[in-house]
Amino acid sequence: MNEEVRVMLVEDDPMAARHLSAIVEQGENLRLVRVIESALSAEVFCLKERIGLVLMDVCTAMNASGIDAAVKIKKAMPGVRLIIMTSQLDAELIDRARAGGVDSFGYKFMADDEILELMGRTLRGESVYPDSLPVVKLGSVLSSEIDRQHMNVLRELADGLTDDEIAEKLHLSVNTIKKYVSQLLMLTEFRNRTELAVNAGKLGLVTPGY
Amino acid sequence: MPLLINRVMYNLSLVIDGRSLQNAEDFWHTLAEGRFQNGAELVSHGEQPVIRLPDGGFRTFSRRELDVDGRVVVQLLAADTTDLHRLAGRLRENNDALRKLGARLVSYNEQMGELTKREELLSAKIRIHDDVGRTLVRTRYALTQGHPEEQVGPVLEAWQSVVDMLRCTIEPKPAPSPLRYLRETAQAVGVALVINGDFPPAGRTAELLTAAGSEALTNAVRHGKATVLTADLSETPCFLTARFTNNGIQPERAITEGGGIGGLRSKLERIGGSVSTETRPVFCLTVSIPKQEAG
Repeated sequence: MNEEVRVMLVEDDPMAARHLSAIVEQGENLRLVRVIESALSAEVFCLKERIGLVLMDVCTAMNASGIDAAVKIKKAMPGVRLIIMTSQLDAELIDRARAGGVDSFGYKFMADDEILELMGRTLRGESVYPDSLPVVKLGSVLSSEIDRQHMNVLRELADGLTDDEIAEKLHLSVNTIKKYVSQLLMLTEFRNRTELAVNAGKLGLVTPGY
Repeated sequence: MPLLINRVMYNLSLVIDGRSLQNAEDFWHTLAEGRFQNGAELVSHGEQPVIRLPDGGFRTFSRRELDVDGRVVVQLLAADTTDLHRLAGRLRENNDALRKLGARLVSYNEQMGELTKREELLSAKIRIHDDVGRTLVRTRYALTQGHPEEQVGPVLEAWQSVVDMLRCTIEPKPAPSPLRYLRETAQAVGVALVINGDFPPAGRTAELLTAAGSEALTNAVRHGKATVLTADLSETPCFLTARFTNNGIQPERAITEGGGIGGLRSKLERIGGSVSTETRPVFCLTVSIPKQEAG
C-alpha cells in the first residue's frame, strides 16, 4: 500500500468527524480530502475527487441513510473501498451492508488503533465485519438474548407501526406479533410498548428510518 | 299471531318495542328501522341488526324464511352478543391507543438522529477528558526532561488537537440548511445550481428535495459532464413538484433506472409521492412530494 489513498469521511457529528479525521491523519499513505455531513452527496464526491476509501456513518444529515449511499456507491464504483462506521448496534445494518457489497463495518467506539487496522485491512482487499455484536442491556435482558425474529418485531414497533402493519410487513399473523411484543415486555420488564421502543432506539439496537 | 315464541323473544319484544310480539314480520321491520320505545338503540344495520338494550346488553337478530307444509314462515332469532360487543369496544379502544402510540413513536424517530448525536457527543467528551489527561502528562514529562525545546512541537500539536475538539463541543455547528448544502455540493463539483421557485427552508420536504437534487446532480456529473443544474419548483395544494434539468450531454436513448433513481422512487412512493424521468428533448428528473410531509 504505497500509493496515497484519498479518503472521504461522511459524518454529521463534528466531534466524531474531528476524532475520525485525527485517526485518518495518523494512517500511512492516507490523505483526508473531504469531510461531508450527509450521505446524499457522497457519490458525487466519489466521482469527482477520485476517492479511494470512504468512512460512512449510518445516520447522516438530512436523514440520509449511509448504508443506502454506500451500497449505491459500491454498485456504481466497485473500486472505492467503503467502511460503515457507526455507533448503532442494530444487527440488520450489518446484514444490509454485507448484502449490498459494502467492504467493511466498524464501530466508532473502537480504539484508534483498531480503526486504523480496519482501514488498512479494508484497503488490502479484506472484508472486515464484526464477529459478534456488542452486548447492551435492554431493561432486564441482554441484547444477545433477544433472537432475530423478536428483534425484527422490535424494529418495526420502534418505527411506529401497529401490530397489523407489523404482521403484514413481516408476513406473520397479528396474534404472533402480539405474542412477540408481550414476550419482549416480559423479558425486558418495561411497563409498555412506548418504553420498550424508546429504549431500544436509544441504545441503537434498532435504527428505524435508516 | 306467531306460531311459536319463547319467553326470551317475548320479553325482548316488550323491552324493545314496548308491546308483546304479534307479528314476526312487523317486529323485524321495527328492528330494521330502529324506531324503539324505552331507550333501546339500533347500533348496526344490515341483515343482522344489532340492538343495544336499555340495560346495556346487546342482541343480534337474524331472519330466515322457513317452508312449513308449503307455507312460508318467518323465523326470528336473537343472540346475546353483549360480551362480543364489549370486547369489540375494548379492541377498538386498544387499537385507537395503539394508533396514537404509533404516531408518537414516529415523532420520536424523527428525533432519533439527534439523540444518537448526543450519545456520540457524550462519548467524545469522555475521550477529550482522556486526551487532556494524556497531554498534561506529556507536557509535564517534556518540562522535567531538561530538553523541553525538542518536545515543544509535538506537545503543542497535542494541545492544538485538544483545543479543536473542545471548540467543536462548545460551539457545535448548526444543522446545514438543505438548500445551502445542495448549492455548496454542486459548487464543489463545478456545477452551478439554479433554483426557480421557492425551495422550502427546512423540514422533511426540503430534505427530500435535496435528496432528489443530489441524485440529479450525480447523474448530471456522471453522464452529462454538466456545469449547470436547474431546478424548476412548482406547487399545487397537495404537492410540491421539482423538475431537474442540466446543460450537459443529453442521453441518446431512454435511460435505464438504476439504484439511485430507484431508491428515490421507493422513498417517495412510500409517502404518496412520485418520480418520473424523460429523455427528450432534454433529460429531466421530476419529483412530486406530498405537502403533508412538509416539516
